[in-house]
Amino acid sequence: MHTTLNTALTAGAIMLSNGSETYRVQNTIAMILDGNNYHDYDILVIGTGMVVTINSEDQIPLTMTKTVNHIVNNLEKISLVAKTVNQFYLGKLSLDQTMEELKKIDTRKPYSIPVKILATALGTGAFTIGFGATPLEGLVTFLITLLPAAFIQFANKRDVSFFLRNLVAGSVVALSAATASSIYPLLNLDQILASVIIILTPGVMAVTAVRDMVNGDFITGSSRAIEALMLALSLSIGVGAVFTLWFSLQGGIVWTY
Amino acid sequence: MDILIIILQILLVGLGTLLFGIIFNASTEELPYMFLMGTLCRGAYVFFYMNLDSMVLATFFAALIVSLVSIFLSKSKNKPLPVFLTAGILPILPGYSIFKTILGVVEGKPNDIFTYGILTLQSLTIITLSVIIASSVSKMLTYLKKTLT
Repeated sequence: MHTTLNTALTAGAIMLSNGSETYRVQNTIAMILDGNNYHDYDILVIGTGMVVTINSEDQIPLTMTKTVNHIVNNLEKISLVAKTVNQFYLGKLSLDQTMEELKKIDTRKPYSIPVKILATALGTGAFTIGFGATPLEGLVTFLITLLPAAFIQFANKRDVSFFLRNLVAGSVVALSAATASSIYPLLNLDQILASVIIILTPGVMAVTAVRDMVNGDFITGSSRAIEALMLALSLSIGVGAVFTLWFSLQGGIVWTY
Repeated sequence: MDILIIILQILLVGLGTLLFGIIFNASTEELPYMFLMGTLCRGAYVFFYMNLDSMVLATFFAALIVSLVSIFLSKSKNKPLPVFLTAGILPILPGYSIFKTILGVVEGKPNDIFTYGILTLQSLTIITLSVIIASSVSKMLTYLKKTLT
């Protein structure tokens, strides 16, 4: 019973720490328990952890808790855990093999930092042109994104708080954009900022928060919504402070409407 | 010529979505689907915006189409829904509106808070509604299929 519960919680923790929704984590844990013929259980998953109890008529009920401290977005790990758990549920993998697979998945390396920085900068550049800007504005967006993207990767690696990370990254974005605009005033700064800021704004988190609340999970939904608001607040403070300072020092407006 | 530029812009948004898939750590075999979903989302948005002249309806239909295709791909490829949906809705996410709303609070601009705040709430509600409608339709079809066979 202990090994089953441990395997179920390991799978759940990998999914939760890699950005999965709580109901999906709950389903994953339930599949492992059902797959091992434990049908009487209680599962509680919130944004930062999970509690699972297996009730048994002939044994004392067993409860285990697992907390998750650091949440990132890793679609590959979510996909691999779901595949492994499905194979276990269908009887293609034993419990030990499932645990081995889960450990392998957990230690998988993500894309390298230079690849992520380049992908971020190229992605925002492509979005800028795709949303109607000129190729020159796309190029400026690419160049402006390089520094904040590198800082985000550095901050993620060093476990810098999300508030400070977004505040500094927002300031760097604003400073680079204001400098580019003063060098070439014809740039559509609003369009450039709209694309660069995609990497810093909590759009996916906000949608997941609303989806969680609509599914009836108000604790996780509201916690995600507050986190999204805090992210947006830190970014706005960073951008707002730099623009205000730039405006007062340079005496010119940098916003274009 | 205009159509060609629009198609090129849609493809670039698809490329941007693929590149953002790398930030989300999608596996290399999933990246082409990110391109497909991004292109589909932006294409649907542009098509409905040009024909209906309403941002709300364009966002709704784009999100609905992306959700339906994501559910279909998730079932046929046996992968979790977020693998396709997260990247798919990226081009219509209200990230910039969220930022402008909070920036309005920081800079004390009530007009911005109201305008972008409403836009954010509209977009979030519409996207969520579309995902729910798509998953309900998918569940109904599965139920009907089971009942009939």
